[in-house]
Amino acid sequence: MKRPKSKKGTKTKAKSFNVDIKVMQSSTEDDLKILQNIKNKHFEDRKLFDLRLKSEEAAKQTEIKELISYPLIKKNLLYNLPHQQEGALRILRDLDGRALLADEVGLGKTITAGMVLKECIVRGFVKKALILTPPSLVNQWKEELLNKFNLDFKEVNNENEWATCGFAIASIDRVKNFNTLTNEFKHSKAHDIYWDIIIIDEAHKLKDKNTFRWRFVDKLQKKRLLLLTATPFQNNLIELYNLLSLLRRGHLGTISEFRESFLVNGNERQPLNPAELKRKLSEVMVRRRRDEVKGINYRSRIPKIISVELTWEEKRAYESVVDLLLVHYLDFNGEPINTNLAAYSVLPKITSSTKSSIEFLEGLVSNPKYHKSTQEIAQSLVEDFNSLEQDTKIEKLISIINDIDSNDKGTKILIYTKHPVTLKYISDILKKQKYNITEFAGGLTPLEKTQRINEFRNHSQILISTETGAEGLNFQFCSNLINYDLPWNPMAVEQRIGRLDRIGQKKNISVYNLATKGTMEEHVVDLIINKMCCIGLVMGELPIILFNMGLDSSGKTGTSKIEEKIMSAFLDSKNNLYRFAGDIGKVGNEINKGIEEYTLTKKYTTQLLN
Amino acid sequence: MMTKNNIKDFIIDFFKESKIKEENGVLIISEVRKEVEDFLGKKSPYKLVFDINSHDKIKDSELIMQGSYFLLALRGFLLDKGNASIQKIVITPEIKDIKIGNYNITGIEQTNISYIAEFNFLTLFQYLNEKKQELNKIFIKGKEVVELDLNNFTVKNGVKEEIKEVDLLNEYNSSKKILLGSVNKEINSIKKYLKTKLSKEIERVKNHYFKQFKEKDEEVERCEEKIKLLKGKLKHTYYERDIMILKRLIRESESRLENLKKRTYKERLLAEEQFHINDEIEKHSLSVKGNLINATLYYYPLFTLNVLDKGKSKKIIYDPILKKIV
Repeated sequence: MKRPKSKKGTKTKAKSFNVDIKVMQSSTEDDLKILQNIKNKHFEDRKLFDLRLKSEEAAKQTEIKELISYPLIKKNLLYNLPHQQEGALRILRDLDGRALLADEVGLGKTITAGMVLKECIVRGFVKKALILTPPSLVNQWKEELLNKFNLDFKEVNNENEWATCGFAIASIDRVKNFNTLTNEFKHSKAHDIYWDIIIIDEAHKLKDKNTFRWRFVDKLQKKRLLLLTATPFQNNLIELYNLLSLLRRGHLGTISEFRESFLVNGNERQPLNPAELKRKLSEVMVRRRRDEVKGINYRSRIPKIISVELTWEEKRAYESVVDLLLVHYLDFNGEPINTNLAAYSVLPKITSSTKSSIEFLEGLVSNPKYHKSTQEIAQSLVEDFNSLEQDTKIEKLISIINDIDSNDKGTKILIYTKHPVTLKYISDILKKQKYNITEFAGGLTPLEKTQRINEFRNHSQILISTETGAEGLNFQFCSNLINYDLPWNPMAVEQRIGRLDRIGQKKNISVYNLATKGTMEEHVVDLIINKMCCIGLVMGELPIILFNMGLDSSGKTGTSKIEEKIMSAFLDSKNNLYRFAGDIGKVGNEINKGIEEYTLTKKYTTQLLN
Repeated sequence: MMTKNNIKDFIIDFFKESKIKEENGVLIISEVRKEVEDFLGKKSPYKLVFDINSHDKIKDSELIMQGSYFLLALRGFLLDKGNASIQKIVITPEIKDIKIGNYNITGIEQTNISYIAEFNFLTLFQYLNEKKQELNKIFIKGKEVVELDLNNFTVKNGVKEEIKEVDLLNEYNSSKKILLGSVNKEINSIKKYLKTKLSKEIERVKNHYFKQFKEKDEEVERCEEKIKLLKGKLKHTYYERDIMILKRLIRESESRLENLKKRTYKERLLAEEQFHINDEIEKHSLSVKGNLINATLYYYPLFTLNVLDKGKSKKIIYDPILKKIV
């Protein structure tokens, strides 16, 4: 195509063009079957057809005035929040399904997007759907889509899986990989599919058009596109321009026009004409503030760190087992084994409870694969643990529960532990204290899960749970959480708190954390609870911050990068608490920087968009 | 659009084999056939309400309104039902009522049977976030469309043993042609609407890339002018240091010009433009799905008439539906 050269300053317009509408028509195979039925005299009562005709008339859908799918999902949603339906309707009716959904955090963007998706599917508009999310949110999305919208999305990990996926979900960090040798995206097969709808969560990461992430999304063929983010730009308006370029090319003009019309002297931080920019944004964006939405009360999280001072004997046993892990445990079959592997699989057990420590040590003793010297140390430690006359941690737990109960008689308490062994141990002890206990571990059937939840809600005062049992469950009728032990992954802790910190929670949430004094656990609890999970962020903001920092994706060990950082600090410290505290302090500073950046971004976004 | 009462009548008709009672505006349907329960994925009783307020108040109720999910599900159940049927037109004409030319009819007797096919086509038009449907009923005999008002006849369920094997393929093909004429009118109307919308979107894309090319061209021009200017200055510069600086600036500008003129840039923009145009074309495409949802075979008797034509007696075959000699 030859393009006219124009002189500087001359107003030029593109030439007119012909537009043709693509019409797709169906085949007649089914029709021929009916003719065959006539030929074979396979007749049915004509009244059935008359009824069918009436059904066609009754089911006929007209223009989108309401969400016909809402009655289907309503029963799965705990609360009816009209702004979610209104948002979904606006996206479908007014914005043709191409929109930036920029509601503030905590308003349920996932639900609104799910409503758009479900409505499109029920109305027959969507057969192929793709959702791209941060790595840590893939499972959460899958779970919500299944439980709330009855939609089964398949996670795409391998590039060959695209062809068979009608409803696909993938980590955006995974699919954006670009092979510089072949000069194409590893998941380029996703570009061959024509998607009826694409949803991209935490879309603010698409702020830079020179990234593979942006280019991957731009190359996707799509009829409808939903970009979800509470912070569509940080402090740079070009980021907003890049984001909107994905939605509607040229909506804000060319980059030069955008600079000229909307930036003060080209300054990327200062909007020249905010009113006009807002007007342009409103043509493609839905954004609601928390303070304008009714029906949601946000509760605070009150962190309570409970220091556990071990007896001399307990401390000695604890130190010995950590020492065994860092020094002697590695003598597996006479050969050193992967330090990381040992730490990741064993450390959570030995920091959970004396019972889980004993279980781990007995495992070493009875396993002939272990080196004899390792087994001997383990055996002596089993004896040490068994000879302990006191369990200070469990005593502290009982004391916390008694305090909570004496302040608010019969109030519900949720205790979390990482290990089924610890769960059983705590349960047995608390039952002796005459508390009514419900246990909730992995391996329960859906019916058993429902029974246990109802039991907790209606009868028992305390629920003791492991993570694997309670994923995706809602306990907003309970406002006391006790972390008997703490996962070293802040996202896992956030999930624990998230079971209580939900819409419908009527009280502030007390988060109790047992931290053994003078051990590395004390520093980890401080980092995860005081510096991350209980600093006044709204539910859902911590994953965004970690995603922004690139710390939510999986590292080399398969766990999240943030957990790897903490674990590396532990391994590097060689059980030197001073050194460990220093390294954890550095992680804390890094997180703090991420939180500050995020807070600034929120401020800029609010200034411009609200 | 169906009225609330019409929808209610349809539901009562659908569940006529079940137990139905109405309490305070709620239709309660119980003892539903297992086949239906399985299809709907829900055990009866069903509490059907017809306004959103009742829906909020009554636990486990189903909201019924035009196009609601419950009605979609009922339609889904009926989707492959009643697609081939047989009807008998009962007709016994009397001689006094038959008028054929100047024939004098002296006797009548039933001799054979004949057929008329009824085809019901449902065409769905889907575009953007909208859906439309059109139902076309065509009566056809051979290749001829028949204007048939069944209200003028007694029609009852047919008996398959009373007919021979019938192949309606020719009739179907003929009716398809007639259908296309009708459907095309709707297609053209929707196309007109889509074209207006698509034109705007393509104009946006084209203008955007047009300007991008323009900006690029202007950048090239600026760069060329700069080189010209620098070269001009170079001719009048004598100091070694200034010459070196100017030469460096010229080299840099020439390199930049070379980059700007690289074909790949323009090709990339063109490919991008085409991608976005195609995207809009796909988005504004119209999907037309037309299906035969029912074929009904009507059979009726033909009669042999004894007539006197110019004094001579002869027999003719008479079609009482088409009211003509066969």
